[in-house]
Amino acid sequence: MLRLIYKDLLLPLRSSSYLWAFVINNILLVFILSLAIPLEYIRDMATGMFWAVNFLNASGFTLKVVEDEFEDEAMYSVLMSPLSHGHIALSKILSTLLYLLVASLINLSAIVVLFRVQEPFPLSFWLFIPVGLAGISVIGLLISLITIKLTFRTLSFYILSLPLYVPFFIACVQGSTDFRVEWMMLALFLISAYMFILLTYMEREL
Amino acid sequence: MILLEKVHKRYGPRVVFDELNLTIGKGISIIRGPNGSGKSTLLRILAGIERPTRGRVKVLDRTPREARPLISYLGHRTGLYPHMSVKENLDFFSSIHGGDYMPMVEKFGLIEYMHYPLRKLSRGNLQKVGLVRTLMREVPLYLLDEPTTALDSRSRETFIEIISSMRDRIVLIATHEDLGLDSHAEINL
Repeated sequence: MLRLIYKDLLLPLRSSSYLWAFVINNILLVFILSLAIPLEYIRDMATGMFWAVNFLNASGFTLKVVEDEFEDEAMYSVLMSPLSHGHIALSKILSTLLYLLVASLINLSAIVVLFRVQEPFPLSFWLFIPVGLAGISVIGLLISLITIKLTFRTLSFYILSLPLYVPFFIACVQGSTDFRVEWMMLALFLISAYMFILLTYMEREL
Repeated sequence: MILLEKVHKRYGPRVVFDELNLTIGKGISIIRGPNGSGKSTLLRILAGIERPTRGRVKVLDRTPREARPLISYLGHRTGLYPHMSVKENLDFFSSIHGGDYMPMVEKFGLIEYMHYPLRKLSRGNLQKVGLVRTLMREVPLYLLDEPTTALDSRSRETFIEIISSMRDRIVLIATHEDLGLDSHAEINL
């Protein structure tokens, strides 16, 4: 399992062009938004912007992570090992989550500087970061796996992921700004449901 | 033992094989046939990567998917990570599949390429790394699709020498070439 996580962490580093593109794109998006939105609104929108940028960019990152697995059919070599589908999925989710955490901290730093945020973020915001990023990771990996063999892979990925991302995005934004247990419950329920679908899909189709 | 009963496979309107019945036992078996006759498809079905449209497939008394941990498969693609180095790939696969890759790396003359990323290797060397990944495992079934593609004559001989010592397992090779292996079964598609 540790070896699997190590490989999943190493893979984006070795094909580093898209890792850098992902980080730079995050910062550029925040920069453009900071220019486009008037200063009087900008601070109120910081939390929403943080999640919007994360959702927009991280989904593409998860697609690339899965594409790397199928580029030379390495995934089938992994599936021919005694490792369970659950271990393979969990390792992918954890490693993707780690990259998303690092990228979101860079993203957050850019927001604090460019949006001139002076007040500290509420506790609920920090609570939602790992939950939200875990959800993005699970949804992204699920839809990437479903669309990986399709001809219009990227297009299908964005179309199919939209209905899954929307309720999760709402839960993250609402829960981060005005914490209520229901938003956290909704987010955790969605993660569990998508995780179940991901494992079932892997077991049946891969 | 591999068993195929009335196996039918089609891609859209194109029928690859219809009512295929086959029994394959221990030893080396060579699958031959013209391009598009379904050699690779047959190996992919046995490896559990593709499903037949209908029919019954048993691999080592299990379904192909259940038998996966007992299979070592080399397809048209290497089954490796092109952005990682030869060493990183072999380290990873030996840790999850088991097996020592060093003797085969030496036999195939890959020592000097160990720290090269796979995408920078020549086609022949890439094929050798794929062979090392596949053959270092100790499993009852090996499925090899065109394993000697792009190999030079020395590496081809090394491959034949390794394969010849595996007669106590099931080795299924799809190839156009005459590998000069003695005592093997032939399957014509």
